[in-house]
Amino acid sequence: MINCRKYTRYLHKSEIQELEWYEKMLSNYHIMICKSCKIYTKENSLINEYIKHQIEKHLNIDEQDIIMQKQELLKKLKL
Amino acid sequence: MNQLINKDIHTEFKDIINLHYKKFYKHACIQVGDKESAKDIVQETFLSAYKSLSTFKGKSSMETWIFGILNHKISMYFREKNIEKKMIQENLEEKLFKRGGQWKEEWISSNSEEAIINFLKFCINKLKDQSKQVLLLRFYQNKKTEEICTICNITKDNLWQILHRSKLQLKVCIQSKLKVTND
Repeated sequence: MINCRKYTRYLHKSEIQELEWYEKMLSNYHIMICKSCKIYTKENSLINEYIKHQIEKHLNIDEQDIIMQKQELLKKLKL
Repeated sequence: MNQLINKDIHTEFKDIINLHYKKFYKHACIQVGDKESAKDIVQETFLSAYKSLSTFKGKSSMETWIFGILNHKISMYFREKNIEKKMIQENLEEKLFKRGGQWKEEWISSNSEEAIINFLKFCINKLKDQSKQVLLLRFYQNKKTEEICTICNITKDNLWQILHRSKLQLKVCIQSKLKVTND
């Protein structure tokens, strides 16, 4: 049986590498019985999704500006 | 033969500018939070990469190689500007968890998605440079573990520990902001 601190370590580790079978098993067992970690896991997924899909929506990048930047660069490089 | 190879490399370089410039620029914008500086950094990245094209050994893709230069330039930018991140080095696990390893009650509450997202962007910008870089490479750029390790020059074990720490820092930052708002 693992505690919440260990569970969060495994959760974050699983985002980088495959967990060992016993780490997966212990995590699955913990999340079945721990309400706090269920809440945290949901929050964590929300953060990942936000970074993946939403973060660039706030950038408001102007396509025309990108074209001009590319032209400026290609001119500097004489390509 | 050499001329032919050189021509291919220059064509590939030009293709990367045409196809991926926007991706590089977006990454720089998110990291430095300022469009003018992001533009300068990206242009300087491509100029440096072009000058060093003869040193490109093809161990990784050219895009990854240029991306590494971009990340280096971003790190240089932070160093030159001496931007200090406010996040204090602290033992986050001690702060968040009880001695027995359970969450301390004050850090766990069912917040609405909207409330979390409201503070998320602010809190991402408060992260230390490397923590932010790792988060963005993993979830925004969707880079593979090995690629992130190469770009950041860290081991796989270091990587997940940085990610773990970044996530706990975000947790502390968001929850603290929510608490202030609710009070």
